[in-house]
Amino acid sequence: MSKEDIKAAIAARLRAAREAAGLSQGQVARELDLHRPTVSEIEAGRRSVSAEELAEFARLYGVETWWLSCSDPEDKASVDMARYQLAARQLSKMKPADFNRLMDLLSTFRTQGNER
Amino acid sequence: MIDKGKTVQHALTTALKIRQKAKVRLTDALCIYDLAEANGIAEVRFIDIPSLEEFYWKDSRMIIVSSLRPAGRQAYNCAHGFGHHVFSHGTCIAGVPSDETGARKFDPNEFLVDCFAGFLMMPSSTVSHGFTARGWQPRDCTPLQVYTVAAWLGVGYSTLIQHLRDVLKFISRTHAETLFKAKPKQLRARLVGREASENVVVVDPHWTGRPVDIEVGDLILLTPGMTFRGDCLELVEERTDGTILRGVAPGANGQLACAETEWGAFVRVSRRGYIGRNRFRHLEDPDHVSD
Repeated sequence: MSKEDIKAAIAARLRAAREAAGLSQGQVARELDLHRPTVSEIEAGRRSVSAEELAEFARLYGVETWWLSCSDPEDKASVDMARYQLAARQLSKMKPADFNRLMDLLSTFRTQGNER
Repeated sequence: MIDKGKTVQHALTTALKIRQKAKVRLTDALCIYDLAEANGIAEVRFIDIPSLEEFYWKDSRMIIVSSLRPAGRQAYNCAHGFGHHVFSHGTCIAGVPSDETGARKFDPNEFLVDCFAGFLMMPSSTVSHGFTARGWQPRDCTPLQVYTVAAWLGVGYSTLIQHLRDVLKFISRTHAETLFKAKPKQLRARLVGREASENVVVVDPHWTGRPVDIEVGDLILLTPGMTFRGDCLELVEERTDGTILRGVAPGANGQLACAETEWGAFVRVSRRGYIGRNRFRHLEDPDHVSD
């Protein structure tokens, strides 16, 4: 991926994580003491994000920093275990598309040890 | 073969211990989301997945509730997920039974947490108080009375009728059938004098224990003699039998008061069909645009 592609991918994840956290751009700006246009510029991929800012966004949104930065680790044991357990026992309770969406969301959320 | 009686007793005593630990009086309703997050659940989240009811993720101590259900059912689903946490069950998912699978098979853990959720949100003393404090008796309650008490408890209309009939044995089967015939939609229309697709919550000076939680667009029917303030609310209509308010913006700054009895309650308003982290549900939103 080119630098621009990575920037766009990070921007898309930042937007998705914000929406999944239930926050508007204005609320994020208030919470992180940023100017509102800064948040929209970042989400449009027109402004780079520092590592510190990414960590702040991750904390606010309750997601993993590695997910926001598009650097998925090889070991996602807890999510994979949950996926395995549920798929084995309970897949019939949900529609497959809904189940996959739930699992995708889970893989972004912060696990207990990383919370706060 | 499990002893259902023992399971029910276990669910009841555990629910009452949790309420006691959280200092929730037996005469008070509770906010299940706040209670869960204050008692071992790291986070409650709302997401819009159609065939999901609720998901408890043990490793992360997280409960995920489908935002596509009515408010009362969302709360009950959260209590159900909290039950899995309290009883140290593994990661569990509750989906909407599909046409193919039909009703759920009996599962002892599911039975236990169902009982627990019911007793946590609707213990006998709390339900009883909900009626008697308002001068009503559960045994001959009317649909509007059940509707009012259910909203205060934070559960659905049908859920409370079932609980009154099957668990608490406060009402007969015949009485329950009569109550089931009245639909919440009709009751809302009777309360506000027109067809109402939005939720309507009756608030009187017996509303104790938890804030009045509504979504933008929902209505509050305040009984006479009460006042309100807060940017998240607007006046819709003043009538002889009360005041109708509407939630207009996310926020937790709504206040209701009754000067005569020194009663007061907070109102928290969330976005319609809120998706997100519970902790941000009632955060004021500078981007919010009123309809």
